[in-house]
Amino acid sequence: MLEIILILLAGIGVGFLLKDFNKIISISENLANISIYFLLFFLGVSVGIKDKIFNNLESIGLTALIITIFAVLGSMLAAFIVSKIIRDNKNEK
Amino acid sequence: MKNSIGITAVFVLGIVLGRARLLPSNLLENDYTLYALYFLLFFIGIVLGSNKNTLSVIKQINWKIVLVPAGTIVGTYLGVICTAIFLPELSVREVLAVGSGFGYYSLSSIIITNVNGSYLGTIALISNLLREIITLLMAPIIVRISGKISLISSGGATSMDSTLPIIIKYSGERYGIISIFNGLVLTILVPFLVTFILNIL
Repeated sequence: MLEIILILLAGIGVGFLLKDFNKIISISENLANISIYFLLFFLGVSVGIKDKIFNNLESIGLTALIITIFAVLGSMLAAFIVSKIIRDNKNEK
Repeated sequence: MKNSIGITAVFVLGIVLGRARLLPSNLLENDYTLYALYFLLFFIGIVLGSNKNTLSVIKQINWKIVLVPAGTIVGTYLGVICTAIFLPELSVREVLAVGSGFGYYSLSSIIITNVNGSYLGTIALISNLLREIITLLMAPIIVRISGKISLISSGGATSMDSTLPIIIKYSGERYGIISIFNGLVLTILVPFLVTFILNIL
């Protein structure tokens, strides 16, 4: 999937060069939004067509919730430690 | 870019139409979505690369603030790795890929669907939508339990836009710039981290 990285980097480069052309940037934003809607619509269609996924949406949702809760708890803990480090450094000054 | 209600509506409409078999059956067999993904990545790249906030935000911060997005990444990864223990249907690689969305549900779920299929893509979409919703709803509790920076980390990539108002409300105006910085760094890293994890692990 090297192409994902390369295409993204190409876009970032073009965006950086064209950053003062507001019209081009706002068109790009709209095109990105349209393709997001298009792709998520297709993700929905493939969920609807595949019985194996559609019939398990409840357990998929629960799995997603569990992952999210742990992601949030993990980042809360890490951020708590980070805030102590930042504060300690401030006290040393 | 991260309009959660519109995204959910379009996704549900897709499920309904897919269920009703209203669409021609060869629609999914053609790889239109792959080209749409490339198209999307290029234009998202333009939006990210042209963001004038990036430089002005970076000039205002000191290096210690880098610890905030770094903490968000490390903490999220440690948290989701734990879930692989009691979610036998998913591997560590898969839960890490879902966690790498950091709330940026649209792009992360699209890339994951493309590389790994719609099962994990759907988990990624719901999980990352929930990250934004949990941050919005639990903001005062999160701040009380583990502090103001925790709320920013909880927001992940959304801390620069959709959860920014609530972060400013509960963490304070002073934390606005850290919040934008955290969201900016994660938003840029999401497509790279998701792709790396799915391909290297």
